[in-house]
Amino acid sequence: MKSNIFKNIAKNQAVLIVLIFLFIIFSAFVPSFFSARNLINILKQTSIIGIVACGLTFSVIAGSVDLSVGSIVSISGVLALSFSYRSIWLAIFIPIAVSILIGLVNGLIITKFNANSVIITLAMLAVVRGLALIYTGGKMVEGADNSKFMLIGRSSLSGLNVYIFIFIIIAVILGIIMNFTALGRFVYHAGSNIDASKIAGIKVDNIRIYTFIISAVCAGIAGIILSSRLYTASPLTGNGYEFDAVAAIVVGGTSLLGGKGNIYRTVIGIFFIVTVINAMILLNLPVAFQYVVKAVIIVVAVWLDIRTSRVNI
Amino acid sequence: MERVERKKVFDFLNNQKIFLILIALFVFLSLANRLFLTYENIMNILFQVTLTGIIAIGMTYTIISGDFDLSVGSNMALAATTVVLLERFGPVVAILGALAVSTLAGFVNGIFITILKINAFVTTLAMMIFLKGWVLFFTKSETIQGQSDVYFKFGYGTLFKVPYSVILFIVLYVIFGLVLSKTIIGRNIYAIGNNSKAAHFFGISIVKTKTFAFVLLGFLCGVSGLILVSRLNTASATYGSDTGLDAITAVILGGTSLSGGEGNAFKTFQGILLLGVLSNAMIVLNITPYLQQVIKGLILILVVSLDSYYVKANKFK
Amino acid sequence: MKKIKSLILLVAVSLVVLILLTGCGAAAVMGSSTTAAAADTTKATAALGTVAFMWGGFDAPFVAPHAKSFTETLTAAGAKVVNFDAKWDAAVQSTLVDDAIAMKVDLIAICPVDPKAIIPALKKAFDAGVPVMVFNTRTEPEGDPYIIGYSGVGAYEQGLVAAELVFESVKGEGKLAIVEGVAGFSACVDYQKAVDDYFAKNSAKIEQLGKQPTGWAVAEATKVTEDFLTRFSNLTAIFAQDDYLAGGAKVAMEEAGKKPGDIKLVGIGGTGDALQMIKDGWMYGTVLQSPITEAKFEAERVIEFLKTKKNLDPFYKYIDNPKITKENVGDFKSEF
Repeated sequence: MKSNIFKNIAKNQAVLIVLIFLFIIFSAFVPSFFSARNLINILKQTSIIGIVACGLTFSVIAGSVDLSVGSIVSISGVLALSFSYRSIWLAIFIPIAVSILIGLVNGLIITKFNANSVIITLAMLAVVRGLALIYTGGKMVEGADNSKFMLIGRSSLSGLNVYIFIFIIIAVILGIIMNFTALGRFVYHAGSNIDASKIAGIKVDNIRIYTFIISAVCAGIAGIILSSRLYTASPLTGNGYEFDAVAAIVVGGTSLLGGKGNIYRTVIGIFFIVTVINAMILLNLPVAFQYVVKAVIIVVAVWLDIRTSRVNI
Repeated sequence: MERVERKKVFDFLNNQKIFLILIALFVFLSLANRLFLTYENIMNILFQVTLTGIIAIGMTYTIISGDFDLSVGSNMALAATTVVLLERFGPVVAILGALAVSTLAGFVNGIFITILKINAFVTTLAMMIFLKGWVLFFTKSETIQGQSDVYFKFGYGTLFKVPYSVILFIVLYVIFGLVLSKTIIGRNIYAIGNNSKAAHFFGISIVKTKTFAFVLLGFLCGVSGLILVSRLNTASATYGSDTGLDAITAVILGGTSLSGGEGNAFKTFQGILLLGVLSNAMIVLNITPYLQQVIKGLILILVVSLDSYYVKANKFK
Repeated sequence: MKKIKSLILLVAVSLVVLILLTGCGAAAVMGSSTTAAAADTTKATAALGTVAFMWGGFDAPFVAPHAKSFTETLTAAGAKVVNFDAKWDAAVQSTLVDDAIAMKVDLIAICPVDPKAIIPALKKAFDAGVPVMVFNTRTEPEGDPYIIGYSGVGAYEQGLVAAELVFESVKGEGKLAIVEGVAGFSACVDYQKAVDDYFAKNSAKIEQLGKQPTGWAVAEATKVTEDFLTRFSNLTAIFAQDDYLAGGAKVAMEEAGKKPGDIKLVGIGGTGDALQMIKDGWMYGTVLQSPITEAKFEAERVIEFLKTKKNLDPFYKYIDNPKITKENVGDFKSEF
């Protein structure tokens, strides 16, 4: 009996266990890994992409994927900085509003036309980036120095950047929504069995639209934080974030087919990837290997997940 | 009687709508710019679309079978890198080596999707990243250059004023278009795209059929990579970044449905031509580059939405 | 069915309106005509000729002010400029050259994505009788017979000035980390060569501890610098291959608790940001490469060719690479 419980825990928490294991190995053998500065760096590097990934998790669990998040980060960043000269509230409100709009458009197109979310959001990725380029005229946008807006990305609390806490708070809130509210339950239903949900009276289309809005807003928040921290924003920012976020979600154990997984898993997934890449950089391994290792991690994690879930059925 | 005839005409026109749009564009652009309808310009367009067009043949197979492949760009870069690196062993070894490597990548995609049952998006995404890593490694992150000029003869040579690569492009379309529509394996691809469970009950091996589609796509990525080298004599990890989405766009623009089970190579040919003409048009009309990107994305969204809407609407018929 | 149709119509109309608005805005920025009024494109109304303007990619932040300045200088002289965006894809750029040849332009001004890969296309242009001037990034010497000249930046020479700045900042001895643009990019390769050559020539005791590529992304520059600071506790200098990246490096230094001047930071470019960072002490110096000045310089060479129809003399002409440090930072104003 006892061995069965351990086996179950091992299967469910496989990624976390491997992560802890790797963490111990890296701390012992990788120079500078286990230092306060490096650990804080890891926290910093996971925070921004983590916010994007947590928002994206909603979309994935509901059965779609939102690949436009990379450009939403950039358009939100450039909007935020150009309004940072006027007021901090505009600098936050306008990017969020635009993100909501983009999420809404994504959601409407994908649900009303039953279109493939990968292709639509990939196309939207190009469209939004194009709009960001048009808006900035291809240039970098610089923010107002010493404005209140800069505090978002620049201030720290007891040694840790404030945005790390923002990430934690967002992850917790999203986790609560996902696991303890009706909306969260509907998201799972929408992803797992669309027809049954329709019979049960849940408006699946609306739920999926909400998830697109959530993922877009999270990308928008990430864009605001990033531009506040760097005080420059380029229409090219966030290039590749969409694939990094999907990788984090998938490695964490959430299925791309929808209906399973949770925010907690995504957080583990993003820490996993960032930690491994961090170790590779500290070991001075060529950049090429980062790609290869990332790809292998994705495939192994997904394969393990498929194997274990089939066994569990 | 009249109504049936009208419907027949309507259906015929509907099926040919891409062709008609192409004709309309040709007319519009020829009026807009007298330089458009020159032999040179048309041949340019064909020359330009060859790389993505050849890959789009394979993408047609995979989309009809129900999946798409995001790794094609990196696969093409891999082929280009391989042929440059193997150059010193002679062109035959280099070419065969490159084709082998690309076909293998396609094979691995197929196996992972059919046997390991990892979904196509994740598999081909991971493969894209994986191949990019290897290309970066082998090129040492630089652009590597071939030492011999032998490939240029193919890249820039012509037969009766038609570039060799365009001839190859058309030949491949004819061959694999016929394979798709006239052979058993072709019909199997439609079958598993339409209803894989039913196909399975009929004894069609999903593993063999779908893997064949991905293997073919991989092979064609190799061919594209070779053509790339025949034009530039260089290879770099940056090649092919837009190819995947462009190839998918071409297939869907041509009228093949993303949900699988229908479409053909000729439709894709129209789609890739349309894409080429649109790109050319936007340049000739001097539309700002940023806007070109937005327009291309919007066209893809429009076509995919309309396509899936009709599929959804037809489900209830 | 009706509801969907009206929905489509609404979305389509609003998108078209949005595009037209932003498109007109972009026209002002790019300085070129974007009206789809088809009739305009049939006749080259410009007296001096039509110039095909080919940047490697129009989305880099350096390009927009450059393109504007270039187009304005040429339009004022009576020439017409047509933009070709290769999106940093060498194969696409090759085919764009074909398009320009088919459009029978009077000159192709090209910044090659890949200095080696573009040569076959240059030959094609030469054979077709279309003159080509290369700007900003030099092609390999094998391409020289096919072009009328080069105008622009000498990346190697720029690198030498940057190396000089690094050398000065640490007084010839220290530990350096390099925040690279894109690995293998021709300018970055030239920068590295310049740094190595300069240090060797001046017997510098500067150890190069590490170099990481950033894809010219500021966020990546910050990350890379963070990791440098973790790996190398005794870092004394950082060379960022452009000023935007230097800005990213500065963020990392700031967050790590470094004070201005703890680590000497050198960049390339001369952005307004960099000038401020030099004044504040975060940056030791930078090398000026104003896109506006550069574009004007290159455009004037184009005008010279269009008027004389002769190969440019001198064949290679470079702009100066003035170095900017705290001493002379007041002489420069922020242009981009």
